Amino acid sequence: MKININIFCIFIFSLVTFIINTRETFSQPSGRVSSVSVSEARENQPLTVSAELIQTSGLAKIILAYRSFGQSEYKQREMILSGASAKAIIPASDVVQPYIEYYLILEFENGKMETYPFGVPQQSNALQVSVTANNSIGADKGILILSPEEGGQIEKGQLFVSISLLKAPSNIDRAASKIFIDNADFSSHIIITEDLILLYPEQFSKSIGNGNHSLTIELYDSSSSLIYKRTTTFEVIEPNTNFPLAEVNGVRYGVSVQYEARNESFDTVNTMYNRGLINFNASYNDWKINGQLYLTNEEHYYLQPQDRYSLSIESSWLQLNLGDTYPSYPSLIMNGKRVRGVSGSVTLGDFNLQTSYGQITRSIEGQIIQIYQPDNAPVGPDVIPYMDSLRAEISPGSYSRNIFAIRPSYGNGKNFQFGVSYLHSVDDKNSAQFAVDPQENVVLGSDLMLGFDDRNILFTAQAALSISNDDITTGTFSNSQIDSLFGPGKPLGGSAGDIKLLTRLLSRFITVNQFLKPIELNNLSTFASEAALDLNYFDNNFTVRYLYRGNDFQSFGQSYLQTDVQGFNFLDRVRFLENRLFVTMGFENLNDNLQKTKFSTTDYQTINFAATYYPQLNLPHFNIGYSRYYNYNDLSTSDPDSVKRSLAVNDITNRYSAQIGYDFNMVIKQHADVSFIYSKRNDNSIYNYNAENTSVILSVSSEWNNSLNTSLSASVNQSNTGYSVFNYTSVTAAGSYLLLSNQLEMSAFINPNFGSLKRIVFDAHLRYNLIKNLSFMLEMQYFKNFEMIPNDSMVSFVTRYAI
Amino acid sequence: MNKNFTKKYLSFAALLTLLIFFLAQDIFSQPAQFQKVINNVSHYVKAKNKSDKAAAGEVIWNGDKVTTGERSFASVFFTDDRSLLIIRDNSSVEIFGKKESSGYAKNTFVNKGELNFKITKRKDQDFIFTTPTAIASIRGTTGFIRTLNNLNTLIYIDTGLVTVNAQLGRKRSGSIGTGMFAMIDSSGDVNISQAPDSVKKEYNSTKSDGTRKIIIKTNHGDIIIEYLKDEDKH
Repeated sequence: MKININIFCIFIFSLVTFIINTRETFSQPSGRVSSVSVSEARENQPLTVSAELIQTSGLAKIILAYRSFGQSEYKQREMILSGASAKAIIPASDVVQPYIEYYLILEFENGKMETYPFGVPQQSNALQVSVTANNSIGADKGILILSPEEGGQIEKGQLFVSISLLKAPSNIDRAASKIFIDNADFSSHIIITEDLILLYPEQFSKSIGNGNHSLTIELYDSSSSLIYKRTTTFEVIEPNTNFPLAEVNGVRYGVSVQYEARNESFDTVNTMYNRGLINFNASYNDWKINGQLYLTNEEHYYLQPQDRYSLSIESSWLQLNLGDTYPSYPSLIMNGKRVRGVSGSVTLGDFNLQTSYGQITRSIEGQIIQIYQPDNAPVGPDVIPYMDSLRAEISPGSYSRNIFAIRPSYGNGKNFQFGVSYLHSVDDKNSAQFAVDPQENVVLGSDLMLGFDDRNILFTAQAALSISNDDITTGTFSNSQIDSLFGPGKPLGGSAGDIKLLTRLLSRFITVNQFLKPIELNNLSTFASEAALDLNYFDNNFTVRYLYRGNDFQSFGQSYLQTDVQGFNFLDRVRFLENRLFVTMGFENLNDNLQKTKFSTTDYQTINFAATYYPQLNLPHFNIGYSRYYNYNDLSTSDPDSVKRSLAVNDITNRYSAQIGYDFNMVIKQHADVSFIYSKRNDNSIYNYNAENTSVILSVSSEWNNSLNTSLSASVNQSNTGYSVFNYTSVTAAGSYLLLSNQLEMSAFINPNFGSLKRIVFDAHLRYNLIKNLSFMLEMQYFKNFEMIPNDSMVSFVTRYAI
Repeated sequence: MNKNFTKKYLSFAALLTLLIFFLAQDIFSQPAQFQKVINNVSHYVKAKNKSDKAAAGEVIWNGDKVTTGERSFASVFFTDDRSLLIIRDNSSVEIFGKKESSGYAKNTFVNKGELNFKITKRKDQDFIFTTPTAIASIRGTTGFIRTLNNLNTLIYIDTGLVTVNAQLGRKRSGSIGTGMFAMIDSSGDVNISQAPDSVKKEYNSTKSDGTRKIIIKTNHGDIIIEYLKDEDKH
């Protein structure tokens, strides 16, 4: 009877809070994106953002836009598309407490774009993920967590907790020590010996299942004051019985083959997809080889590559990647760009060398739209000479673009590293007949990292200078061309001799002609730099950064860098109440018009404030935040010049957010979240882009046992831009169940949407492991649309075999 | 009760307590702990004068002996700095740790067999390995050590620097650097040279547990049998 009452309570609680999906998954109405999930967000650890796609036809690429707390600029990173999913990683340095805002930009082959959630950032709120603080206390007290290793994997049956107090202060009240695993208190099970605090697996093996777990240790002194607290994570895995299964002459290897047949029916159009994936890995002593081949029927000569193939070889000193790779250089040079070719690095003690060479854009032939006689040909960038005397208006294709980058560096990167980078990228102007403006780009950069006092003082800086040529069709100036253009009385004046000398020097690196940037070297238009100082003292994490990016700075290795911006930001996070309360304040002031190329300079000011409170375990935690974005310039909306009127900027956006999360046990393990975001933008420009957005999300997830998980969620979204109103409510009920000794997994959700968006989504997913190495997956989605919109559906069948 | 007797009794008890206290500093030292155990690993607890099958998480006391059987393996970490030893099959190792202000002064007797080591670098203390023919003094190093059937000792250093002294005969000494290996024989010679690929390969094989597992599913639960594969045996 008691159980029934408890279950009733759960039901009531669920109704009252309306809730969920899982805490990391966000579901918003979209015709393309089914859901977005993020990995556990921990401070200074990389964060993976994954998107599941409903419909992939016509999709050229997906870009993840994100910004850390305290920054107004959304950084962008192309997501790696693989079949019906996309993934991108936010670097550890950008994962800053208390939260990160992000959204997706979907670019289509026809040039159109949309965002997920729809209308971000002007018309709706970006998604937000809370970042867990590193709320350690007493890290310098000589207490050593021996087992489990932080972030490490441990096989089921080998798990134990061991904490060494050998070098710990003598005033620790060892009997008062506390150990929590996944917020459950195991303190009554610990064994205290001379110098060790121990917790043995047999005492909790039933309740510590496979997967990621958190371990929290609290130590108190004789006056019951908390003097040490540390939370780490570990993963419990099944004993490794199936990898590597094969071994020949000391070479261990594993292979998996996957095939997907997928049919999508959207807007009454049926599209069939066939996708194959082969993964291969092998190891021999210290050497590892990984290979991947992904083939899809979406691969067409008139699109950028959709197939992917790669082979990597690595050892303790060598990393060699062939095929499709995503090399990572300093962010001003190249980061996250797909390179089809070869990439690698050598680490020889303090000396390191990294290099990449390959193709970043495939040539795609354009098409002739119409042929003209020279006399009646229109003028435009897409009209090119054709067959000697004619002109052709074309739909331009793209040239093949190759890239070469190299970065030698000195220092192991712990407390010191200095690197120099060189990047050269050029279009192959012979690779396409009907394309326009082949380009070339050279970037030279350097970077420095200095750490002191165990990196409590950390200084990082990078600078880069780019030289670009916007049209290399005619090649480098010849001497006769220079003589005809430069010199006294010539069209461009100056000294022909100086120009010849400069051309001779520069042409070794880049094509020199009238399309070269920078035109002038003294205004820093192609210069970019960033510097940051991090200080970590007196319970403060203080960071101050400065950035400068000239309006012509360009690196073909980094497509998503905002240019024509300079300024600074600072961020200070203060810890209170034994690291339970975090208060974060930030201010940023940026401006554009660095080379005075605009009518007026626009300032972008951002003020941020957030407070996060982590009370004692088993109580809810919460965070509140406020941000103010103020953008303005000195142009007036009543200026008699209509152009200036149209460029006047004066808008303020205020954004408020609050979130409460609670892990609790009510008969079963549960997690509940309530979040609220409200933003209002007052636009005093002539466009009056006022906007008011409100999002409320309530969710609860329940782990009934090792086989059954359920979730309920509800979100209310209201958007009023002055020009349009878009209000809708979305409810999701989901569950997953394991049976037949976990061989069969069934999951499903239903997601009705009401209001401005009327749609019901049904999803069912089956995974069956027929034998250990062979599995089948069946996924079905059905979209019930209203108001005369045809219904949509998707069916996917996946077979996977591994040896 | 006779006052003198009481006084003597109390004095004796105090002395005994002090003696136990000082002895206990070593007897009850816990220099190490089993991290992982596969198959037949015996743990001789010196204080109890008793051997038992070892288990992951079990504490190793000062002077305890670890013996691995056929196709067996144990990894052991030290409780003051997480230095790691991987004790291969058919080995016998005694672990000593004397508590000092900055941690344990560690000495590991490799009576027979082979072990891989990853020693955390410390400013003020060396990690000592003792074999029947050699003493190696280590400060922040990775490598492996093996005693051969003829009591010769082979030491390979993958990274770091080690000072080695022969215990017998001419009692020569030398320093072994990264990528070098030394053979210390019973005549007291220390022969140091560049390690051939075969030695490096052996080092790599000693790093992993090299185990295989079989899971037998029964109505009463899964039975997991874990063993060292033949190719890793020496």
